[in-house]
Amino acid sequence: MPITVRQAKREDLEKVIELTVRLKKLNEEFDPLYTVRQDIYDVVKKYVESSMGKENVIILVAEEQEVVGFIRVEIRSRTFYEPTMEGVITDLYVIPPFRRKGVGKVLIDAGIRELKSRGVYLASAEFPPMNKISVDFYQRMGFKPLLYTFFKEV
Amino acid sequence: MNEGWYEISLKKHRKYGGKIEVLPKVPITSLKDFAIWYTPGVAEPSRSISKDPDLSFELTSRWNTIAVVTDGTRVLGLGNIGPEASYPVMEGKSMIFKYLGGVDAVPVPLRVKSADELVETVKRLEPAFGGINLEDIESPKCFFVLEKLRNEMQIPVWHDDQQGTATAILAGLINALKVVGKKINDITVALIGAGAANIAAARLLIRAEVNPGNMIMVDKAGILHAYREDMDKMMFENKWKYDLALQTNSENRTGGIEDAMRGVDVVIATSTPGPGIIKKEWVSQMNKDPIVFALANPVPEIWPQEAKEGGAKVVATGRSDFPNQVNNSLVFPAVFRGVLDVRARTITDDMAVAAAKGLASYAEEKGLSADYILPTMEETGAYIKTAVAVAQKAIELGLARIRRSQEELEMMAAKSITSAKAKYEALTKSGLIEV
Repeated sequence: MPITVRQAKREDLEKVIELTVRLKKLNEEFDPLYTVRQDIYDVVKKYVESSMGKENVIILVAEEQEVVGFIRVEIRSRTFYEPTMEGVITDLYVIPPFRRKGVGKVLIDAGIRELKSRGVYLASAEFPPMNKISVDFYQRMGFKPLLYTFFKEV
Repeated sequence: MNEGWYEISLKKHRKYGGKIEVLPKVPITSLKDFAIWYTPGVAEPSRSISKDPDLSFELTSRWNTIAVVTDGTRVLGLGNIGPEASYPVMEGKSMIFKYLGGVDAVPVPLRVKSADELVETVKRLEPAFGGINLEDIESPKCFFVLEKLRNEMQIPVWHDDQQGTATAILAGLINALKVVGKKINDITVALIGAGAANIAAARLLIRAEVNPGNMIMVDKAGILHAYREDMDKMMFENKWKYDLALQTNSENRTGGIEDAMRGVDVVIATSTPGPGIIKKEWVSQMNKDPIVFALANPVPEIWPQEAKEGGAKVVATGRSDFPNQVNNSLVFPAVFRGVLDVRARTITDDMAVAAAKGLASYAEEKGLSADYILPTMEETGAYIKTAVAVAQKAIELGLARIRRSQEELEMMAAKSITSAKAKYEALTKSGLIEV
């Protein structure tokens, strides 16, 4: 069955929230500083709901009978550098039975098409550096590291 | 287990100072013979090997010598007790290798900090050995280590806690299915426990044509399925279990052990010592003529008698005091006998399946019944048959350094195994080994 990608709609809200919660919980694996908040569901709900209305945010879902994955891309301006705009992939998640079937790539390709149509020619992705699977994936997709963010509890 | 065994064991280990020793096997009629076996003569075999390293399999004991390697992180039921403490276990294994398989095995407990360090160290042992038997390494590290070493070494690497047990399970299953008249590619199987043994068993069963969708696996958190909450975590922590969660349970069944067993033909449990892990009533809810393998030691997940009362047709355990002992000691001496006799480069899953079929066919020729699906350790013929099956598969797959006919293989295996026992008996009889 072919997988289709489309803009997220109001009726996808619940599913996108559920997948976003799973994604944030997945990060718990990597570091105690990724421990999700007690009210994770509520904050994710707000996060997704407000994203839906925003001009600078793209949410696409991959569908095969049901939603099997999604991508959230946030367009940000770059103050000092060219190009001046960047599309940041803040969230990308595919449910386990649909992994290793190219769904992630389909989502990224669609996100990039959408960025280009809006005149944005730089894409980036944010994720924990310990997520080796993501590191490999984005490298395969032609991304390279361009920014380090270091953390320290003070 | 009787407390007495522990005291006796400690006393005997102290008395004999361990269990194995190295003895020359060549004639030394006078010390002059050292000129042949050692300098200056020995320079010539060395020169030959330096030109062709594979000659080390012909001119040295390498061809028949393996290392029994551990990092001591999961020894018996004792847990992470460290490399020194694992030595008695590795030495015991080495003793069995010699006694049942004619294989010279050396205990090699290693002090290593990480899986990568273990892999690196074992790789460096390659020139000294014809094979590597990994032992008592914690899960899921053991999957990574085996996979890596199998890919990167030119001698067979085997992790007995995974493959030995899995091969014995498959052999028992093949014959149990014959007893109840079911076909392996039709059956549904519940696997209780998702440690090294059952993950390896699941993979081997798939290799032997059990339909993966028809298998239902249960770990501590319940039935594995593709949508389970902890799948993301599992993908990073144990990708082998994760893969099985995706492949198995095509109906996406959820729940616990009872749910997993409902309606299935076979249950294979390698989980927590029982009794009471599996209930008689759950066996009653299985499909017609249930097969129950309750393999936890020292106490099976369900007592055989109870399983029978629940309607089980064939019951196997890990214990020698009940019929049908699923015992990796039936497997590892024979598998290494086979691969060493043809200087194989590896042991593939197909070779493990061949071993299981060889072992199963031996029991079948003797005459199967609900109480006899596997040979016992006394049946030397089973080891020879299994060794030959493994060796022939290695030749067929192009993984053997040398080719031999079936007759040659049978003779070689029989000679190695019987001569090891005969030499030992001679030493005992003469009083050189004090009984």
